[in-house]
Formats: sequence, C-alpha cells, structure tokens
Amino acid sequence: MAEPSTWVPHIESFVDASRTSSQHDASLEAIATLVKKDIVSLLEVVREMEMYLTTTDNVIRSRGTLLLGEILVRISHKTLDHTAIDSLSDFFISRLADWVALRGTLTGCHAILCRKKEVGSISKSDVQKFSKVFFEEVDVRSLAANDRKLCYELLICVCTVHKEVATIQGEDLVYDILRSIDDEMDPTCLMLAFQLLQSAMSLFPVLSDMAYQDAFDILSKYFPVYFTHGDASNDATREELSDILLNIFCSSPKFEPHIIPFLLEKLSTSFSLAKLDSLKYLRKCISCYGPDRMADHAEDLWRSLETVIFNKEEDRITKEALECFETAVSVLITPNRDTFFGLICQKIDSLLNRIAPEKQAELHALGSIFAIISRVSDSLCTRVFRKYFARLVNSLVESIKGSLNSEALYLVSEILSSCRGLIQRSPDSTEVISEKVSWLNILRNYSGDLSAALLKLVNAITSLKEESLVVKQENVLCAVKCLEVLATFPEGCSPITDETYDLILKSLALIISEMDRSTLLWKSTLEGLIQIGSVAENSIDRRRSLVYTALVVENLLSAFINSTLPLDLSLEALYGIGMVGKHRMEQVLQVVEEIIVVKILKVCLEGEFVHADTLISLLQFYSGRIISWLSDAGDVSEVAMQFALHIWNQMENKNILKNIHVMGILDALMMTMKHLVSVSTINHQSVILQKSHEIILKSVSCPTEWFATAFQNPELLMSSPSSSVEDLNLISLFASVITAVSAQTPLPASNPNSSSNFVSNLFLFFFLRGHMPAAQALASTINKNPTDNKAIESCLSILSEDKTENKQFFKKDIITGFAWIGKGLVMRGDDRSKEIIQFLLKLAISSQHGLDAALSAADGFHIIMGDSDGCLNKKFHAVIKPLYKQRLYSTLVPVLLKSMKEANSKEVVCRAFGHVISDAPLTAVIGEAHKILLAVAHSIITLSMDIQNKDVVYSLLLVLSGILMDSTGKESIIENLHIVIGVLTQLVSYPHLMLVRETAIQCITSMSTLPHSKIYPVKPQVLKAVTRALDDKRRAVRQEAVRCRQAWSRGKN
Amino acid sequence: MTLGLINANPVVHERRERLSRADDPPHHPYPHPHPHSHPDDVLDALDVFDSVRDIRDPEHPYSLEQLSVLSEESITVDEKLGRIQITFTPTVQHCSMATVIGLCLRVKLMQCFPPHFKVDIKVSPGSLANEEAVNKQLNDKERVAAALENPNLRQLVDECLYSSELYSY
Repeated sequence: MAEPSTWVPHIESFVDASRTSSQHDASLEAIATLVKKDIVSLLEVVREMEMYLTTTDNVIRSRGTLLLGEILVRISHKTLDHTAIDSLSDFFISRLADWVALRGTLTGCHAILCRKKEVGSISKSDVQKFSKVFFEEVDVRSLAANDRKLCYELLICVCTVHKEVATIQGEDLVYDILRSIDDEMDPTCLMLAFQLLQSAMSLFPVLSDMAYQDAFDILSKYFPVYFTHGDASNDATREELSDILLNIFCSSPKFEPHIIPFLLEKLSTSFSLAKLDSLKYLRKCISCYGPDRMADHAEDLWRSLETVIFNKEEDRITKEALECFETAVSVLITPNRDTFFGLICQKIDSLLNRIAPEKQAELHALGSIFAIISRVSDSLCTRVFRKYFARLVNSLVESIKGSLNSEALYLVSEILSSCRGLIQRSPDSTEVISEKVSWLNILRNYSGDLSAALLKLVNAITSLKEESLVVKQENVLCAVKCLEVLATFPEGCSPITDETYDLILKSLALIISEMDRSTLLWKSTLEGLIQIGSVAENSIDRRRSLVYTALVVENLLSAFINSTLPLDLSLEALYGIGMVGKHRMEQVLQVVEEIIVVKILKVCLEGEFVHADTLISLLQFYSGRIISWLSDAGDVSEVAMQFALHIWNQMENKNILKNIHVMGILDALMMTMKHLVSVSTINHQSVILQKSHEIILKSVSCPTEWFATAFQNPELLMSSPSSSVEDLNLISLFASVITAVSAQTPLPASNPNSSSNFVSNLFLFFFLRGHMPAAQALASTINKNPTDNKAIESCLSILSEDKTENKQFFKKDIITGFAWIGKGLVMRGDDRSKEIIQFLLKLAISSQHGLDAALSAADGFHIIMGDSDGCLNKKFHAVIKPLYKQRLYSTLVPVLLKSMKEANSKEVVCRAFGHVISDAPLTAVIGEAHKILLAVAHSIITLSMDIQNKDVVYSLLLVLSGILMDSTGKESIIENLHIVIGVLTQLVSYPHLMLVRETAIQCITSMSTLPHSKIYPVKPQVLKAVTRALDDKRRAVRQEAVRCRQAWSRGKN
Repeated sequence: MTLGLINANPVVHERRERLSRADDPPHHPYPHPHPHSHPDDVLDALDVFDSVRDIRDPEHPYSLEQLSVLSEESITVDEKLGRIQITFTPTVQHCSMATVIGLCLRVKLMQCFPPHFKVDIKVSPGSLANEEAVNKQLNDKERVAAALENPNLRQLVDECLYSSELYSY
C-alpha cells in the first residue's frame, strides 16, 4: 500500500476548481490507476475524500462526488465486495437529492448500475430504491443537456440490465419516463430518449390504452423529425431519429387508433417532408398492424392516397405514395375484406369513362395503379383481368379501325408487363395454368385479337402503302412493348400461338431494317428483340429458338452483309443480339470474320480504298467487343486461333502484303492480332507462332544470316540495302504476335539444332534499322524470357562499346527503341535496366549528340514510366513487378534534380523530369511534395517557353493540382506559396493550350481556401493576373476567372 | 415615411431556359488536333446576360430575370469598341430601388469583365419618373465610387449579388 502522502495530492488537484482541465484529467487517471492496480484501496480513497464529499462548499462537494463517480467508471472491471458496493450505492442514491453535485452522482450511479455480476453488482433492492428516489428527486427536464444525456443512459441501463426490477414497477415506470422525456429538443438526447422509451415499452407486452394515448401525445410532437438548424453538427441524423420514432410506433398495434388518423392528416399538409414521412410511416405501420386493425381505416387511407397519387406531386412523393399503395393493396385486400378493392374499382370506373388524351398525368397514375394491383398476387391479377382486361382489349381492338384509343393501349401494356413479372417470380407457374379462371386463361382467350391489333399498329408504321392508319410513334412504342411482353412469357405459359410468335418477330425485325435508326422506337425495338432472344435461348423448346434465328438473326446478318444498314448501327444490333448467348455471338463472329477477309481482299487486291474505314471499324469491333465478350463468357481460344491463322494465310499473298499498310489498316490488324493471340491458350499460341514463323522464313527477302551478326557489325547494318515494304509489313505483324504471347509459350528457333535466338536476332536487326514494332516485340521477349540473356547482352553491348561513336545510333527511332527495351527490363525488375537508363540520362543531360537525340531520350522516360495499350501490359502477358514505377521514380528523381542545375539544355532535363513526375503514381509524388515542388515549378516555367512542351506543361500542372488537393501537399504549397503563385499566375496567360489556362485558374481558386494569414500578401498579384484573364479569348477561361476573382475577393470575410 | 415595400406584389415571370452553347469546345486532355478549328469566343450579349440574370432584386427573393427587369435583348455589346450597354426596366414607375439595381449591375459587370470595357447602364425610356436623374447618377463614376464607400449600401449590393449564387467555396 502506498503512503497517503503520495496520492492525496492528486485528489486535492482534482477537487481544486482553479486547475486546468488537463491537470484534472491527469490526476483522475493517476488515482484510478492506483486503485486498479490495488496500490491504494477504494476504501482508503473514500476515507481520505470524506471531507470533500460532505463539505458544505458546493463547488468542492460537487468536484469530490464527480471524482468518486469517475473513479468508479474507470474500475468497472475490478471486482468489488458486497459491502463496498452496498455502501457506495447507498451513498449515491442518498445524493440524488443534492442537485448541486448531481453530475458526479449520476456518473457514479451509472457506473454502479452497469457493473457486471462477476465483478460484484448492485442488489435488486437497491435498484428499486434507486429508481424510486430518482423519479422523486431528479427533475430531468430542468437539467442541462449533458446531464439529461446521463439520466437517459442511466434509465436505459435500468430497463435493459435490471429488467426484472424494472418490470415490477409496472406501468408507472413508463409514465415516469414519459414525463422525463417530454419536450426534449436536443437531437443527441432525443435519440437516447427514444431508445429509452423503446426499451421501457418492450418490458411490458400490453399497457393500458391510456399509456399508449399519452405516449402518442408526447411522441407525435416530433413528427416529422425536422431540424431547424441543419443537421451537420449533430451526432444523431434526421433519418436515424425518424427511424427509431417509427419503430416505437410499430412496436405495438395499440398505437393504431392514434397514429393512423394522425398520419393521414399530416399527409394532407403542404409540407413535403411531412408528406414523405407520413407515407413512409404509413407503409411500415400498415404491414405491422395487419389487415384486422387497418380495416377501419381502409376508406380514409384510400382517399388520402388517391389525392397524392392523382395530383401532381414531387417525384419522390409520388414514388413513396405508390409504394405505400402497394403495401396497402397486399395487406388490406383479403378474401373476406373487399372494401379497399371496391374503392379502387370505383375510382378506376369513374376514370375509365372519362379519360382523355390531354390528361396525361391522370392516365399515368391510373397505369401505375393497374400495374401495382396486377403484380401483387395471382388472385388480384385475375380479378383485374376479369373486371377490366376484356373491356380494355375490346375498346383497343375496336379503335384500331378508326382513331386509336391510345389510353387503352397504355393501360394494357402496364397490366401485361406486371403479369409477366408475376409469372416470372412465381416458382410454380403450373398452378396458375391449372386454374380454369385464372388471368392466364383470360389472357389466352384475348391474345389472338390483341396481338392482331397490335401487329396491325406496328405494321402500319413500317409499310408505306397503308395510308389509312396514321399512327404516332409513342403508340407504336407502346405496342412494341406489349408484343415484347407477349413473346417473353416463360415457356409452357405462353399466351400466344406459335404463328403469332412468328408474326411478332417478323414485324419487329422489319422495324429494325426499315425504320429511321435515330429514333427511340428503333432502339427499344432492338432491346425488345434482345429480350425475346434471351428467353428463346433459355427455353428447352427449340422451335422458338430456331424461328428466332431464321427471322431475326439471319435477317440482321444479311442486312449487315449487304450493308443495307449503316455500319455502326448494324454492329450495335449484332452485338446486342450476340449477347443473348454464346453460340449466337459465335454466329455473329463468323460473319464478321468473313466480311473482314472480304474487305481485306477488296482494299489490298482491288485497290478499293473506300472500304478501308469500314475495315478498320470492323477490326476494332471484332477485337474490342466480340472477342472480349467471348473471352469473358468462356473459352475463346480455338476460335481466336483459327482466325489468326486465317489472317496469316492471307499474308502469303505478296500483293496483299504490299498494300496492307495503307490508311492505317496494318495498325488495326496488328491490334486485332495481339488480341487474338493474347486470349489463346499456350498451345494455340504455339500453333500461331509456328505458322507465322514459317511464313517469315519463307517470305522475308533479306538473308537470315544477317540477323545473327547484325549488332556486331553496324557498318554492314547501315550499308545493306533498305528492307522492302513487304518485309516490314510482315515483320510488323509477326511482332504483334510476339508482343502478345504469354511468357510460357516457347519461341520458335530457325532450325531445330540452333539455339532459340532467332526471334530476338530478327527483331534486333530490324530494331537497329529503326523499325518500331520490332523494338516493341524485342522488349516484350526480353521482358518475358529472363533466361534469354543473349538478346539482352547483344543490346547492351551496343551501348557499352565504342560503337556508340557511330552517329547512326542516335536517331530518334533507335533511342525510342532502347527506351522500350529499358521498359521491358524495368517492369521485370532486372538490374540491367540501369545501363539503358544511364544511357538515356547521359544523352538527355549532356546533349552531346544534338538536341534531337536529347529530346528523344527525355521522351524515352515517358515510355518507360507510362502505360501503353499496345504492348508490355497486363493484357498482353507482360511480367510486371509490383511498385516498379515507385522504385524507378525514387531512383530517377534525385539524379534529375541534381542535373537540372548543371545540364547543358535545361529544357530537356525538365522535360524528362516532367515525364517522370507525371507518370509516377500521384501518391508517391505527394509523399515527396516538399522535395520536388520547387523543381516542378521551375520545370513548368522552363517548359512553358516552347509550344512543343505543352502536353508536359499540362501534365505537370495536373500533378501540381493533385498536390494542392492533398492535405499534406497543401503544407508544402503554403511553404512555397510565392513561387507556386508566381508559376500559376504566369500560366494564366499561357498562350498555347486553353486547358492549361483553365486549370491554372482553378488551382488559384482552390488556393483561396488556404489560411488567410498566409495568402493575403499574394492577393494583389493574383487579382492582377486573374483580371487579365477576364479578357481571355475563350469563354471557359473567362468564366473560370470570374469565379476565381470572386473567391479571392471574398476571402477576407 | 412609409416603411412598406415599394412594389409589394410584383409580377413574376418564368425563368427562360439556360441556352447551352453549341460552340463550346469539347475538353481535350491533349493537344487540339486542329488548333485553328475553334475561333475565339467573342464576348456577346448572352455572356453579359448570363452574368447578371441571377442578381436578386433588392426587395424580393426573385432574380432580375424573373421580374423581367432585364432580358438578353436589352443588352448590347460591341467588342471592338469595348462597350457594353444595359437598359433595364424597373417594375414600377416610382421605383426608388432603380439606383440600387443599377449599382448592382455595375458592380457585377466590374467583377466579370475586363476594365477596358466602357459600361453604360440606363433605365429604359419612359419606365421611370425621374429617369434622367437616375441615368446620370448611375453613369457618374465619382458617385458610384462614393455609393460603394457607404457600408450599408455596399452590404445591400453584396446581398443582391451573392444571395442566389450557386457557386461558392
């Protein structure tokens, strides 16, 4: 045990009101720790504190009580014996009357009441005594918010932890609680008050009617929950409060006589929040109270809902009202209760007699009502069908002859889509069929007439001959929707005959091929056909699937082949139809493949260059959409391989090879080839490789021996005659195969005995002659085959030896090629990449081989750090080491920062730096913002002199704005505020790119939120620059400038 | 002195739909393929109208556009000569708020357009009893500057300018 002299000062410090709150906290923690560790016993503490607990000085007494209470909170897991607990609870209960020291008393009571049994808890009699004294002595409503909160927490503890004691007190407890929470306005406290009431009421299964009445009187004041001062700073949100209030009302059906009339009354106010919440409450209450209790309210409920649904309201209110209506329909209409349905029918009857085209809103409301009743249950749907469907269909069929009854058409379409949903949802649809009078049978009886009428309407718009029937597009749209629904019933329940099905498909297909493509009708018909197709595809009955193929798919395909439809639309349609199922897509794929080959022949052999654009879009569609859909859907390898081989077969024709590069066809073809190879399996990739390798050996005109020695003898390389177009085209296509193969696929060798270096030697040869696809392919090989050291060594030997004297190596293409190879190595995490990086750095920094070479080297860093769609990415199976960009970034940045001062051409280094910074992940850059910020600013200024650097300037500016948006980045910005503002104000009048000006002004605008003490010195400078921008040539910049000026000139407030 | 509103019950007109400019250049992240394909955006009456239409009336929670005090047609812009001319129509003949409205217009235009434009603000002929006096007052820069020194007037102008602004940080 510790000497009192060591810890008593802590008590004195806590009780002394003149100390700071941190000192109070520290001394409280110190004592609590001592007690927890048994260094001081609780009894001793109480004994030492006696004077503080009993003194007549109010301040000291309240501090003393608070100290004891807080200590108890902190030792809630420490075992205490019965006598200690009893005396403590006696003490605190007796102190409930002492309102001056109430905070400490409440804290202490809460700590004791919440104690677990294992560590010694308060006795039942004491709980009872506590609750008696509490309600006698404490007037909760007169306390401050914090104390009220404590009271509610205390009482919640009584109602949940000490249920049996609380139950003994009976209804009085509820009344006492109601009295305490009356008029509570603080949101946090209100939340607790609601929780308290909820747990108190849950203790008693049934209370007297009076209790519910009183509870309702108090609670209804809070409806709808609404904050007068906004809810930003509150712990409890409006929704949470509203939900818990709703839960209390739903907790007992005995609230029903009070709450339902109240909600219906609130529904008729003009306050939209009240309407919205009443509807939400009504919906929940209806389903909680059940049909028996709600029966009396049926009429009032319908009248109120009717007003909301049929009057023009905000969208969300109408939506909520319809949801409420749906719940009401499903709960209130039972076999022996018919009032609600009767009321609805009255309304429908009165409307049906006088509905007119100009009352669109009413019609839509009626449509929603029909839709809801028909989708709630089979029996209700049958009643709707019996009562109204025949009538609507008849008037529709009648009107087709004269002027169309579009209202009937709309209502029929709503009912039809609801009942289809009903049958799709129900697991045992056979039951419905067996019932003789079910809605399905009624539908079957009328489907003949109905579909005939609808078909007539749809056909009228496609045929020019029938002038007699003038139809509006929206009506046809509706008719198409009806037909789609009729044709998409699950098999076995289809209401239409096979002949009608065929007619429907024919009519819809006609719309696709004949109608104006830009219309909504065309698009929704296509969607309808896709829906019908997917149902036909999934059914066991093959007949409909076959008919669908014959009438729709083949129709579309032939339209595509004969190009009677514009290309983009027919591709859109084909893709949509293809998505129905895998074999449909394969069907589409086959046709597209055929057309691609036909077009290649047309362009390359017959010289019909007009087809080039079509061919390119076909290739893009093929590789970008069909192949990727199929590879998502499953195995596509076989198909892809076949087409790749097919393309290679074409390449055996010299004439095709000669012309394939015109008008960008080769690029599209290469991309397609890459996609085809990348989705193939390793075996299939080998087959493609084998085939292409054979063709290369057979067709390339320069001697293969050259390849192996090319890099050792640059003179020979340069002096040999330049390659033919055919060779280059062939190598490009081969390069695309190599680029996309996976790392496990073995590369072909020139003959079985030699090593596997043929491929890399071939590409090395063409790379050194400046052929870019060869360089990319070489980079891919190096990236994927770490064992193939020879190729890497050959490349690096060129850099290391004195061959570098040769001027030929400092051409743009070759430097860029080295950058690609460097990228391949860096991505794999190979150390040898250092040599290439150093080579590029040396070139860029020294500029000894001319400015062009230096610039190419600088751009090389964009290749190495950036992402490419064409090669060395995940899709084309590149080996990627995680975080390689960050690693490279952190090695490159110090070097570039250092050389920025000493370089011959600062612009080149800044350009390289710009690429590295803007291609690196932003988080890495922001982490080092303080180091690089000045260099970024410097680079922007240096680069902004020359128009050719505008992209780099823009990307650097984006990095700067990224730093500006980050909280740590902001600190570095504030440190260098003058420099950053200097750069940005200069960019405000950047002449070469509007986006730079716009972004610069946006950055300045967002800087106006930085601390005013920091930014006020630069304000004149900013305002001057931005005022100049008010006169900018572009409107967007001017508008941005106005906003910026406003933000800065209002900053002072 | 009466403390009531000058025009207690103004006629409110519907807001016209905001015209989206068809010639607004799309945002290209990278260099314009044809740098010369977008001619300069010349300052026009719609630009001016867009900047002043949302100014709130000093008396009512409606914009000047809603009260038909302003329309696009009442604004003329001559970019070459650097002139902007606005004619506005107060809601009632004896509207003493006309000078406040004019002041708001001038402040807003000063903020939104470069200083080399000469701005003329007038009430439309015949719409106000003391038309000439108001016109003279609104276009006298000494008096405008003096008015803006008055903190009460300045506050009223600021309220009109910023109360309905959607854009704020």
